[in-house]
Amino acid sequence: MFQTGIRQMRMAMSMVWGRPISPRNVERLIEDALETLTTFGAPGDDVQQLLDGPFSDPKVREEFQTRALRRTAARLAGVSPYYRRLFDSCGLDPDSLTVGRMAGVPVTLKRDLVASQADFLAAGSQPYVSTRTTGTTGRPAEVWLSRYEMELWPAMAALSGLLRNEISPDDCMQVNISSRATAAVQQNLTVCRLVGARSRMLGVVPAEESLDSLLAGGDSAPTLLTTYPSYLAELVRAARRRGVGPGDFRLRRIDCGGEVLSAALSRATYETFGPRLVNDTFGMTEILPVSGRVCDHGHLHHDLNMGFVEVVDFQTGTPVGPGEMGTVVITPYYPYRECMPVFRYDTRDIVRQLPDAPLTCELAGVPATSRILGKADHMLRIGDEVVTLRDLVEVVEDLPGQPWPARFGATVDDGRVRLGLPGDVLADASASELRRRLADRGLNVDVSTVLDDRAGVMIRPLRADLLETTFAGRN
Amino acid sequence: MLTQTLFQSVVVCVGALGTAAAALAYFRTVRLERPAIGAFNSKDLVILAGFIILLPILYLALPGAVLTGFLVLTFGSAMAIGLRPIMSARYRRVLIPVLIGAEIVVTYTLLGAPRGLQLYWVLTSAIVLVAAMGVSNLYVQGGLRLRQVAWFAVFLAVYDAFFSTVVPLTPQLAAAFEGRPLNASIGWAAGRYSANIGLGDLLVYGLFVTAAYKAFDRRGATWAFVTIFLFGALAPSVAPMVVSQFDQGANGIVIPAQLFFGPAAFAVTARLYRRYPERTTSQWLGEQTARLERATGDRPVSALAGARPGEPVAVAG
Repeated sequence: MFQTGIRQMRMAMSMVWGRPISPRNVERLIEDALETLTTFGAPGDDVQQLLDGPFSDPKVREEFQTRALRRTAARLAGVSPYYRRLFDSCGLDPDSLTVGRMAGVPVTLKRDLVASQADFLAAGSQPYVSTRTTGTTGRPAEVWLSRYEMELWPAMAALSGLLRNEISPDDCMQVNISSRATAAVQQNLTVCRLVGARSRMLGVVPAEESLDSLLAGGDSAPTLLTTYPSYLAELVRAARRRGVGPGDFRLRRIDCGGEVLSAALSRATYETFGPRLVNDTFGMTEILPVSGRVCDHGHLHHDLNMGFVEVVDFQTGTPVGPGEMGTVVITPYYPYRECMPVFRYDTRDIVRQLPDAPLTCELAGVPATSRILGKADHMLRIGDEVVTLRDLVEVVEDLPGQPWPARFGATVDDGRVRLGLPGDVLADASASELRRRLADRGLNVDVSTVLDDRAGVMIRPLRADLLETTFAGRN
Repeated sequence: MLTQTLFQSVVVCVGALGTAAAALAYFRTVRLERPAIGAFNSKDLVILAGFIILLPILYLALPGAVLTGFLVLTFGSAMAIGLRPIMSARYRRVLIPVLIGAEIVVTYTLLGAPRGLQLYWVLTSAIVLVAAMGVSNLYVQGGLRLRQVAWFAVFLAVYDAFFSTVVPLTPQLAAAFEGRPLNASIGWAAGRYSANIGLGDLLVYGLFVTAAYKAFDRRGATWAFVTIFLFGALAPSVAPMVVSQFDQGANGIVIPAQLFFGPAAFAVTARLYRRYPERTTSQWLGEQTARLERATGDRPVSALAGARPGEPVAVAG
């Protein structure tokens, strides 16, 4: 207990003073947390505040954010060639930076990261591992991470996961994400190692093989699954084809992110695999280690301990008001991000600000937005009307034929939304039925073309299609 | 000699068993708040042992006023731990300073007056009782196991023997505390007789009985009470009659109680572990919560808390 107190104090002091956090110290806290769970069966009483931070009080939150932003900006001005130039150009003085003045700093886009990669590397840092985006939204961006980051992030995630009961030493995690997502893969495997859980890294292999793994092992079968919504859809379909149900699996939790998870697919996942929770997470290679999670009320709560989150107008970059849509702009704080930091990174992920009313969900202490609605660059506009990817995915995946994952392409053509789908997607539903369902959701979308095959329309890229073949799969 | 021994036996038995009973009653009815991460374990006892060795030396070296300040801080904190779950901050902020302040005033002004010494012991004993009750619960509710308490008692037995007989640190400390504010013991004086038992001993008895109850339920608590009575209170009190080494004259102040209690506690603990399965802290928490749910008409109660953190819980059975 005394040593745990000292370790917590060390970690808190590092956070308050903005000094590097010792990954070893966090790892020892994980051991302490394991002992706590073994002794009491649950963490202590103030765990929620420890995990979510003191963000329910707007004044405290702003003080914390101002300090963290100044610290981060001051470091970038000193070590990042890209941001030194950017801050000079916009006249930013890190010492006088406030939350209110953040809008005056130009956002960083993925194309900036791709075009000037070397200028983003912080002087004095030691690049250790590079990780690439999957390229679903264009040319992949490569992000370099230091050893410090690769050790710190999983340790922080493991500690948080243990205390939230998201992972325990009894768990076995199956990882079905692209092997190229090295940061995420390494993070998952290290989290398991630190907690003492087992892990099965499979990658995006044929769904039947993953299903075999989920079903195998009896009492040691996977209890946690990490994947993309589109791959989860493939797994659900494979399970239904095989005629297996909740009683055949040990899954207690499924984390999926990187794509839109529809309500229909989420429902089907509960029915098929029987987990206690299908967790819709938000994460992105470029803004690691900042992440977000969806609460029971369907709000997306970002982790404000590690980064500053804004929702800004697509064009002007200024904060949007309650009820309005905007893109999520994230600034990971130092000392969490070290090697290739970004400042005001525009994820181009669209969310809607929640109405200006107190939250009543279990994460009410942490500000929230709507779930991710899609990518700003894929948003369809017809006059003042906006159609997001989520709007379409929710309707298509709710069709009677259960066409998961929803494969379609959508464009604006001659003032109308043109939705193109492979013929088999509609199955029992007709194009008119799809139009009616879209209209029921308040979407004035005209399904003007329904294709018999995939030719002639740009089907949206899905991570499930980043298939990694195996010899077993070829037989 | 016989009268002093009888007097001493009564005072020490009342102090030891009273403290143990208070600690157990507190353990069964009050849930202390605990931090998000952390459990008391053997390492904490090693650190505590380090303090036990170093603090007496520090106490002897400190000037009187500084020592009093140090003790005010120590007892204020210890009382706050015990009273926090059962008393609102408003009352606590008044009661603790008033009690400690009154004790200091009485020590400096009324010790020579009629009934002054009795008033002194009432105040001192009340402070020490609350401190021992709260701190022993902090450790045991914080995860400390009976096995660890037993080893700690053995360490204290060795410590007591060494610093009472080989290096007379404990007698010196007792002499230094005598007539000073916040004498860390429960005691009483009547006529020319005076007897007391130190906070360290009381703390160990509180730890032992609560840890035994947690691990082995009523059976464990019964064994603990018998052990405390025979070896923690009675044996040390009658020891001066047979071993002149411990005879401190009419004061009867310095008796290395742990020399008797440590080995006995260890033997009883070994027997309990050999014969019965240990109830873990998490099992105890679960059972206490279930009892509370029954007592409150099967309303669901969080498995973690049983009640809001720090809130007293009424547990039947």
